[in-house]
Amino acid sequence: MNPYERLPDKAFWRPAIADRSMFQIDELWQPKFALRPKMPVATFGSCFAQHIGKALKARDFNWLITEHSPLGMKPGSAQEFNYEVFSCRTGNIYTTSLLRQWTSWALEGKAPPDECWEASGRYYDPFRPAVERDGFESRDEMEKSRQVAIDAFCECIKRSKCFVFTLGLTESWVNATGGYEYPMCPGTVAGEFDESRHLFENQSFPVIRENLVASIEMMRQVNPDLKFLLTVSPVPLTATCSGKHVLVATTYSKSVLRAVAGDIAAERDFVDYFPSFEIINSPTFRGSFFEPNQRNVTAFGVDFVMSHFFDAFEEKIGKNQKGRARKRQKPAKEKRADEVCEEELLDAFGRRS
Amino acid sequence: MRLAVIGNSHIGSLKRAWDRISEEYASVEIVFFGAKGGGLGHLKVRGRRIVPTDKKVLNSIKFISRGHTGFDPTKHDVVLIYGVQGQPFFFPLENFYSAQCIRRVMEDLVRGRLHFRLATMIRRLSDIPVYIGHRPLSAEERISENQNLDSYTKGMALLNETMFAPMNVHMISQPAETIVNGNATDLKYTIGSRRLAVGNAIDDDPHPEEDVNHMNDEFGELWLRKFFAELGVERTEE
Repeated sequence: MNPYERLPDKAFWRPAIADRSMFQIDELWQPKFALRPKMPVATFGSCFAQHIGKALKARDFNWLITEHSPLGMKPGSAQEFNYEVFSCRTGNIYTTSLLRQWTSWALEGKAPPDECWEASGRYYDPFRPAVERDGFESRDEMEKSRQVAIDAFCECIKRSKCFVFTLGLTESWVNATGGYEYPMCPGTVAGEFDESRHLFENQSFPVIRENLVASIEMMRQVNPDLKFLLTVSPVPLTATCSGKHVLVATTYSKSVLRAVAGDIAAERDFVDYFPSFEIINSPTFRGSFFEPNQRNVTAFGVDFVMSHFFDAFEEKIGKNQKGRARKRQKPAKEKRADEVCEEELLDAFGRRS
Repeated sequence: MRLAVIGNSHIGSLKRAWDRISEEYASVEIVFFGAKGGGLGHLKVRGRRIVPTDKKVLNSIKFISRGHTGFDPTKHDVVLIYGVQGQPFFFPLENFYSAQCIRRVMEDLVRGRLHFRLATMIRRLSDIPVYIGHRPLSAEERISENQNLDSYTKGMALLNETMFAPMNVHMISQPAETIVNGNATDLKYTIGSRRLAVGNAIDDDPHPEEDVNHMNDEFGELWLRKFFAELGVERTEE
C-alpha cells in the first residue's frame, strides 16, 4: 500500500473539486486550535481583516475592542471615524513591518517618530492618515489620539487569546532618514511626497518573515499563551509602484505573503493559517466572489469565506457550540462588502482615458 | 404663561403630575399634544400650524389636548418638546476623543431625530421659546459609589452650546436628585408608572414591571417643578 491509498478524498482534486459544485467544496481548513465564543479575539491588518471582526461579532464571538466609539455615536459615524473597524484605531496595517512598528511602540515603549502632516489648518497622522478623514484640529490632538490607539493596541496584545492578522501588501513606503514606515505613500491620502525622503520598498520573503516573527515573539513575551491566526487578503492591489503590471505585482505580493504565512504557521503550533485568499481567488471559484471590477469582494463572497471559517470551528469545538457557531450573518443589502480601505484611495491617482 | 407640551408616551408622567400641582402654579396653563411611540413623526407644517397627517395621531392629539387638531404657535408663549427620541450627551471624561469626533456624536444624537425635527418645524413658524426635555435616563438601582454628574452636566452644556443654541432652543436637564450612578434614573421613579392616556382601552394602565424607561408621577412632578424654576415661574402664594 502506498501513502496515497490512505489519503482522504480532500487530498485528491477530482473528488474534492472536480466532481463537486463549488458551493459543496468543504474541509478547506482544519483549525489547529479551537476558537471558543468566549475567547477574546483581536483583529488587525489589511482591509479584509475587517470582515473577520464583523463576522465574529455577528456570531456572538468575543471580538475584542479596546478602543470604543463614544457613547451615542451612530454605527455609520463610528465606522467613518474608524472605530470598531479593527480591534482599535490603528487603521490598516498592511505589512508585517508596520505590524512590528506598532508592536514596538506598544510593548517596547518606543516613541513614534516626530512627524505630523499639515494641510489647510488640519493635522494628519502619518501612521493613520485616514483615521479621521478631515484630520485633527491640532498636532497635540493628533498625538494624543495616536497614543490612545497605541495603548489600546497594547491592551489587545495583553488581553486577547487569539490575534488575527491579515497580511495585505509587500509594497511599502519608508522614511529614508528615520527608517520608519508609512501605511500609505505620503502625498496620497495626506502629506507631501518628497522623493529624497520617501523611499519605495517592495519587501522580500526574508524581510516579511523576519518582521512577522519579531512581532509574534514580542507579543508572546507579554502574553505567552497568545495564539495567532494568519490570513492573506484576497483583494488585489489597487496600484503598484513596482514598475510591473498591477496583475503581475499582485501575484508577486500575494504569493510572497501566502508563502510567509504558510511557512510561519508550519513551524509553530500556536500559529495557524486560514485560506481566505484561496477561497476567493482559486480558479475553482471562477471569480464569482468579485465585483465587476474584479477587485472588490462582494458581500456574498465575504459571507462564503466566513462560513467556511466558522464551520471549521464548529467541527473543532463540537456540537455544544453549534447553535452559536452556526449563527449566520444577516445577508448584506449592499452588493459590495462594506469596508474601510485606505489603499483604495490610490485609485484616484490613475489616469482616465 | 401658556405652555404647550408636545411629546410621546413620556409626557404621561408630566401630565398626571400637572394634574397634581396645577393649583400651585395659577399663572400657568398647559395644553398637552401627544401620541405614543413615533406617532408624532406624522406631523407636518400646514399654513401657520403643525398638523397630523395620520388619523390615529389626530385622534390622539384631540383627546390629549381636549379638542385641538394641531399646534398653533400663536396660541402659546412657550413650547416644551418632551421625549420623542431626545437623548442627552455624556461627555467622555475618562477617554480622549478628538473635537471632531465629539461634534459628530452630538450631531448623531440630534440630527434627524424627532425632537429636533419638531423644533425645526416650530422654528419655521415662530420664534417662540422652545425647550426640549430628553427622554428620561433609563432606570437602574443605585449601584455605584460614584454619583458624580460631571459627564452629564458637561455633555448637556456642550450639546446646548453646539447644537441647540444656534436655533435658539434649549435642552433641559433631568433633575439631579433623580439621577443615580452618574447616568441613570433612580429605579424608584419607575414604580407605579402608568401609560399615557390617548383615549383607548389601556389608558393609564401600569407599565410592565420590567419597564425602566417610563417614569412615574413623582418624577413628572420633580421635572415640572425644576422646569418652572428655570423659567422663573413662581408658585402661587397660599
